Amino acid sequence: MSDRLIEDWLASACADADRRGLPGLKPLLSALADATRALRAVDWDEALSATPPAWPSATRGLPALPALPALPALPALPALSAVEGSAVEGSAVEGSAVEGKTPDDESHPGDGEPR
Amino acid sequence: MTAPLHFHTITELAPLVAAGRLTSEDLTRACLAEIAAHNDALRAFITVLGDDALAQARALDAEIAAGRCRGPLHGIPISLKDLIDQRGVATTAASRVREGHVAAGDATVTARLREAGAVFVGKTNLHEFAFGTTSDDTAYGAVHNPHDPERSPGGSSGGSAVAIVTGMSIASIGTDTGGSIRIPSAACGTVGLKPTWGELPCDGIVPLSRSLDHVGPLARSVADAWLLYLIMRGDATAARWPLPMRRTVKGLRLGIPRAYFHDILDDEVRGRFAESLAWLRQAGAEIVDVTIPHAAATAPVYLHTSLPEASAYHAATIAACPERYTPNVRLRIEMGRYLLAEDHARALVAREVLRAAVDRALARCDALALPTLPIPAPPIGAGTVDVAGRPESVRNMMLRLTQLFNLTGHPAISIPAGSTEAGLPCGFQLVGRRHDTEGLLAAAAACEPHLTA
Repeated sequence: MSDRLIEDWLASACADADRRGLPGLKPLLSALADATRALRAVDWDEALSATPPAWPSATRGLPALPALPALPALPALPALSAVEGSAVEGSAVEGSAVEGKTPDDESHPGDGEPR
Repeated sequence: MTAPLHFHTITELAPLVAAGRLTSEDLTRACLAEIAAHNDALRAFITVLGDDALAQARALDAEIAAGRCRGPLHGIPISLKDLIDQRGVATTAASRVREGHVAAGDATVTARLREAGAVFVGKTNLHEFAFGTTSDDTAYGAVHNPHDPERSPGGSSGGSAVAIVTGMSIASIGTDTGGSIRIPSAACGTVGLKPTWGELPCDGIVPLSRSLDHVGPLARSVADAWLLYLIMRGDATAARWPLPMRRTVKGLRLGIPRAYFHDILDDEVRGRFAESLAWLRQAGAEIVDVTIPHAAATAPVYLHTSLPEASAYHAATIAACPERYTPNVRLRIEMGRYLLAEDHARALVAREVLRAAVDRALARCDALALPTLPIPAPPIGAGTVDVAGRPESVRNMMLRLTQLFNLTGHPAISIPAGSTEAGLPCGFQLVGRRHDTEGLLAAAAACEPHLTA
């Protein structure tokens, strides 16, 4: 808001103070207008975005980690039909499901989402 | 001990009470006698709990006789600023607005002090609703500074500081929204601690501006302030007493923010502060300059934070019975009703900026050091004072060096540090890292002997 708008606000506020029989309020409102100008003289959003962190990151300045060795190529997976045959015979997977655990349940702990 | 016992510290008195060599009743009687002798002139107390305090003291003496000591606060007479609830006693806030009010229960801090064995001798006078720094706008008569009764004791916890200096109570509990513990401590020569915001519960305490309000101790030594802080925090204090004080300032790194904070200082205040730094440096402290960007905007940010919060709290009573407020406080509450919401929102962002700036300054040192007040205690009723040849607003001067740390929530303490030629005390303020009030207290305890020597 420009200085002109603060002037308009001040004039309106002082008129209201007069209407309410509080002329002693006008010098305070004038001081408040000065304080408002001073507050608005700074772009606080810009200042906040330009604020560097107070405490340097714990990792800043540490030497770079060595590159990981390349992984060997994985063997090709068996055909899908062979895997389906194993699952039908296995009871362990079914047993887990009967106890009430679902894939979703297993994924919740530690997944970082707030609950 | 050469001074009368009721002028000594809790740390000195506690072993005598615990050993049965000094009764709480005698100590309490001595404090009550000082109140009877000086309160008409100084107006430190609004309510004096003579018979009730003596009954508390006798009950606590009986516990000592039976072999039970609650800890270092057992049987020690203290006072509460009259914003803080004590069950069965009026909480007037120094205002006619609250005539007839009686607290149904204790504030949490009162209950913790009571459990620790404190004797409550009375409720101390203040600037009405804590909405001022000079303790002269009050329904119970202006509080006078014992070092010069023509001058203000500071505020808003003015009565608390006066009570300690004059032996009316051994320590006191105050509140601090823009400096209201540290300002009277500096003006009267006591220690005053504002902990990190949010550490001590403010329930049962009449608010001024909830996001800036703190409760804390005024005392005769850093050790006493530390003890009271721990008790009010709900700590198992007895097991930790005596506290692990830092014994030396050697290696202590103090950051001095000069820009803005040293721009307007009374010459004698500037001189005492420079002397204090010289003594600390001589004792082994390291002194470094630091900067706090945007510190010059502190007052506008404070105004746009505190006024709307205060006006919101008082909205119903200022509408229903405005004539019951003192004129100046009424006008300040009214002023807050004209402030625009968008400016309050700007102030909220500005607080984040200022908080980060103080954090950054503290990343370079153990504590910040600056004067508590830029001027000695002003004359009662003065609107302006002359500072280095220029007239300055008393209100602006009183808040100038303390209110930033209410906005940012950092812990801060005022320690006595010499006096002017006229005998008016000067305060040395240390500011610590957020959530490390005990680190600040340890630094203050190390500095204290070099400041009061």
